[in-house]
Amino acid sequence: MKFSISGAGAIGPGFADWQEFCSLVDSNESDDSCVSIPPSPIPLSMSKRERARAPYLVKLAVAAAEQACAASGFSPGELAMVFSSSMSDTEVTDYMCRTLIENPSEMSPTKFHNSVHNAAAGYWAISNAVHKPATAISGSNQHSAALALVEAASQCDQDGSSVLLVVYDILCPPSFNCILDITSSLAFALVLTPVGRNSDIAPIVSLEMDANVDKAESDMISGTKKASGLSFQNPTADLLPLMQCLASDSMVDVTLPMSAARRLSVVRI
Amino acid sequence: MSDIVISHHTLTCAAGQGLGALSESLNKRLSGLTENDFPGCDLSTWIGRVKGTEDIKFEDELEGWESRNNALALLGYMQDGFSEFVTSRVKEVGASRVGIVIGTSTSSIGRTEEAYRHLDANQLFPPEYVQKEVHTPHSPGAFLAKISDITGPSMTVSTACSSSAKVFATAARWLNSGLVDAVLVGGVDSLCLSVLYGFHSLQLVSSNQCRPFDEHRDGINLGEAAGFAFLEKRKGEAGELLVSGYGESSDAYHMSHPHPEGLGAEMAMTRALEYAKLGSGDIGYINLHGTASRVNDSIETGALRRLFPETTRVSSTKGWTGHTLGAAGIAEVVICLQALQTGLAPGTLNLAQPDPGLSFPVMQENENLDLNHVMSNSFGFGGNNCSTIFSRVAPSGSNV
Repeated sequence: MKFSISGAGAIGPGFADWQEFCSLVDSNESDDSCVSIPPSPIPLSMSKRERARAPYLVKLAVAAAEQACAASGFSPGELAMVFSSSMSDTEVTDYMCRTLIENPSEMSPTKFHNSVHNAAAGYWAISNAVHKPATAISGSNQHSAALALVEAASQCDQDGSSVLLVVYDILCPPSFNCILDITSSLAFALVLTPVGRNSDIAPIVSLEMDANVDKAESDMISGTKKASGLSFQNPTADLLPLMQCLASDSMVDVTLPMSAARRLSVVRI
Repeated sequence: MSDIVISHHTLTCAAGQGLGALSESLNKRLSGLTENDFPGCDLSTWIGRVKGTEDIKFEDELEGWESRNNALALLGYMQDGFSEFVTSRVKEVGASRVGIVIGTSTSSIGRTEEAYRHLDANQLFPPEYVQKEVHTPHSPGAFLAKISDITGPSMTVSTACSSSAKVFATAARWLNSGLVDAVLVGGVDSLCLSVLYGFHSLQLVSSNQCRPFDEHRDGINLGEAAGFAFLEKRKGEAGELLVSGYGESSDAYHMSHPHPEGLGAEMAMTRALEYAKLGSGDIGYINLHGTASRVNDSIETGALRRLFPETTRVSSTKGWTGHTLGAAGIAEVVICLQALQTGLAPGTLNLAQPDPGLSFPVMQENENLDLNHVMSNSFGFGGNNCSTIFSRVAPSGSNV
């Protein structure tokens, strides 16, 4: 499957947007102090009232989406949505489980409807009046990133859609650390378009994805990615090698594990 | 010209474990709803509970996968020879060439609720609850990969009530792009305190049996279900069932209230018809989302009126199953597939007095219909909508 990347967004420890991420990649330095600065996303497309009530994970994903969309030259209404998270909103899960023990009949209706895995996609669509299809997906920690790319690329390929892809995971409450120890919240966003169908802005790069690569051995260490000195323990960080290539405008030749037996290869064309 | 063929399917819900029990309930108009007896929940309501879920054991290879959701998934997977069918197809096609796409909204959160009830002095999960592949949104996808031995891409879709309808769209894309040669699709959602108290907090739950489209409807009943289908790309033979189309959309209105004019619902149905290259007059029966909430039911018939001739037969089957949320898509798709195969379209249970404010006639009684194409609607929180169309290959081998 072939597609172009028209825009990108990034929010993580030490970078609030794509430009800052590019600088960090460019500097090629390892800056451990970054890890201790949690991102504070401010999604401006959401109303002030919604921003006050929205979960952190939603704000992170929507803010990253805004960046990629703005950079792409497409309006939000033109883009189908693929939102992907490995652990989803563990903060609201923690809230619900504790409330169920303490006082179940006082469960907050707002927090409950915000607990759906597609909350971020929903808030994006509502805030930006988007009627295109939206999906919210998940895979195992090792395969989530590849599956997110496949879902977005296959919508480009099969539905002819331009697609906003947002991949994100947040720091978990301490009780969840035994399940997955995420050290920093992170979100990456991309706008994928069928090759040749651009906005007024030229695409960053065109890529070809080959999902028919058999996995010979476990050659990827998932979850903790190092790229240019950046290192994050977060399933979203599996996209770091790809994002780094895009940030530094270098050759793209990235392989991601997609399943127990399959790999995904993404190369620049 | 290839089709997306449904080679096998199964459903386990409150109305029965497997297609035989389901058919009997549908034919005899026997609801699977019971008064709420879910442990730990004192709400006065009716639920669609699958008895037998509690009897599933997680031993040997399955140790560590305990959760009600996985138990229900396993119970459902074992019905109608589905497990054996998948095993034999996977052997023929190759395990890495088969994909998995499962829809869910609850995932295994019931198990997480239980873990929190047993947190140790340091607020951590006790060892038996440290289940890394269970306390995640992908729990059902991971579990299906485990029990099916499929090693191709495995993904979970979680878009509230449209989840296990959307799995058909993703599977069709995967098959048409050549990513895989077959896909195990389905949905699993289980009763848990989060949804019972959560929907209660939104004042969406009825304390009676739900009455979709009734003048006196006053809310939903929650249910659980596990359903699966096996999809392959090949030419469909006479009598076989096909995925003919899908349509997806977003309301862009509110997280828990549908668009007041049913804009997204209308878009989803329209897009599905376009994809299937069918006219609205070609659809013989529509299984509606029909949750029995005051707003969904009136809005949904408004959208129908704008798109379909009144001769189109439509009903909601949530009076048999309850609203099975992330599994509502697959549950109602399987009911549609049964209708295509048997010619019996179920009516709407508990519909004593159709709301005079409805914009479209809704079936009360079951009807015998000669069906070629049917549609299923699933509309979820976040304004996430999906309509799917299924067809039966005519005896001559052509799609009518």
